[in-house]
Amino acid sequence: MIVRQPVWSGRNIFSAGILLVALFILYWPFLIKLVADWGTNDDYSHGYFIPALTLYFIYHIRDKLRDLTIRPSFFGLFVIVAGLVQLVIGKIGSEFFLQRTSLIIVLYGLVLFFLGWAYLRKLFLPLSYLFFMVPLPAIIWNKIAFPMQLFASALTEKVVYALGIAIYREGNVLHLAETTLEVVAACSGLRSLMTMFALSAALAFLSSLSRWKKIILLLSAAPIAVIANILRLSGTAVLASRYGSEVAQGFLHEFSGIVVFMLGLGMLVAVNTLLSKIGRKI
Amino acid sequence: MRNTIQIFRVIIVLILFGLTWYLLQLTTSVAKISIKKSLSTFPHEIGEYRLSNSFQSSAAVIEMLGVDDYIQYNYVNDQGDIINLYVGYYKAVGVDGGYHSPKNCLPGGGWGIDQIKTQNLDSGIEGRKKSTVSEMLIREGDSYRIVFYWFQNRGRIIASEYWEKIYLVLDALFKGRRDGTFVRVMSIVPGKDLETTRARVKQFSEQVMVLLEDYLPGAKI
Repeated sequence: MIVRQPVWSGRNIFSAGILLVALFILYWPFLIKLVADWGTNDDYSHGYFIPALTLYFIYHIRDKLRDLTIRPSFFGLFVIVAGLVQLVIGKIGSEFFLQRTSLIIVLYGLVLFFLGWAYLRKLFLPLSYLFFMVPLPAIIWNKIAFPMQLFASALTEKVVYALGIAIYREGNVLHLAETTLEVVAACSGLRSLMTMFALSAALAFLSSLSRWKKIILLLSAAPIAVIANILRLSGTAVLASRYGSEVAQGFLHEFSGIVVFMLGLGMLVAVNTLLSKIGRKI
Repeated sequence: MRNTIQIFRVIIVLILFGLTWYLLQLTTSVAKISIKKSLSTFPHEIGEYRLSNSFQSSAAVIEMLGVDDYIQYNYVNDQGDIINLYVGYYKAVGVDGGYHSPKNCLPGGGWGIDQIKTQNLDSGIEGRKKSTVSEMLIREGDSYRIVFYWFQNRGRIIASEYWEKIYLVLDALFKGRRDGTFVRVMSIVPGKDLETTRARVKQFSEQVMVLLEDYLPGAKI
């Protein structure tokens, strides 16, 4: 009779610890720059929470992981090497996206090389969640977020006009009688889009909804980000017409990020609840 | 199979990490290449055009663009035709700042893009006699403008944003350079006279492109 050793043996934890520390040292200079980016890039200020959430997801499925058997796969070694090559190329070319995503590739490889396919299947989504912490290259980001921001600005104009406030729009720039909103935003894309996707993905992962409902929940992030931005800009416009441009600009810069976030989170939770209600009827 | 992490695997991976770390120390990432000559000395007379006024962007805009050297000049000729020239130089594109594509910023500023295509110029750089740039027809209400723009990077004239990105990665890898320049030439179309305006902008662009060779680092630094 084969006695199965527990996966969480002291020896295994020690090995895993050494590997993770080594990985951390190797990626240290790249991680520092990434964290600095979260501080300056408003579209990715949610970055701080992503690694913590990934750890939580892994903790969430700990019982399922415990039941698996370790069957290391040598294919993992190729994945690790591929990830490391990507890191070196990214360093030479100063290409941040390559540098940062290489960490995730190496993590896939490590799971495969030490623990095997069964573990990778279970850990794939939690590890892939780390992609949300990496800012997309501008050339891709603009393709997605920019048209959505134009759409949000166009709808904001209609909402504000319907509220009886004089408004004139040039692209993303909204002119009111008292002030002009978002001048620097002429070139920038939809705020909070990625934050909403990161949130909806987390909710989808943790919820017990069926697969198609999880997909709906995930995709709902896009319209929710648009709606939240329309509310933010309309709210600012109303403030500007009531209390003057100082108040409005202050609101826009200090609080609007938080407001968009809270509004978005509220709407996501609402969608989640709605989806779980519908499910019971069917 | 016993549920143990095998030591030899740990050692293999640690060796791989060590090798990678060593390689990373050997490689230097791209250098910041300074402009050959400051754009502030760019000619105030180009052909029949003279400088009429220059614009300074606000500090906030400069910071957002992350541009290392730039000019935005209005040139005017004796007939009163105005041509607007913007040149923005980056020591390392994408590291501290990056181009703001007119495909985004012009619609963001309220301009509709009516037409976008490539345009062949009868001048080039690095001894070439031809080049291809992008041409846009933009409109706000009834006011039309013609915009020519291109990237003048490391000895190449590049019309498209995508090719710019591809060459950027390749040159960063093989030459250790990411310096680059975005050039935009723009003019109002008076009345409906598209062809004359296009010809004016084209001729002006051809001159600017060649003049810029003295300022921008070429294929060789």
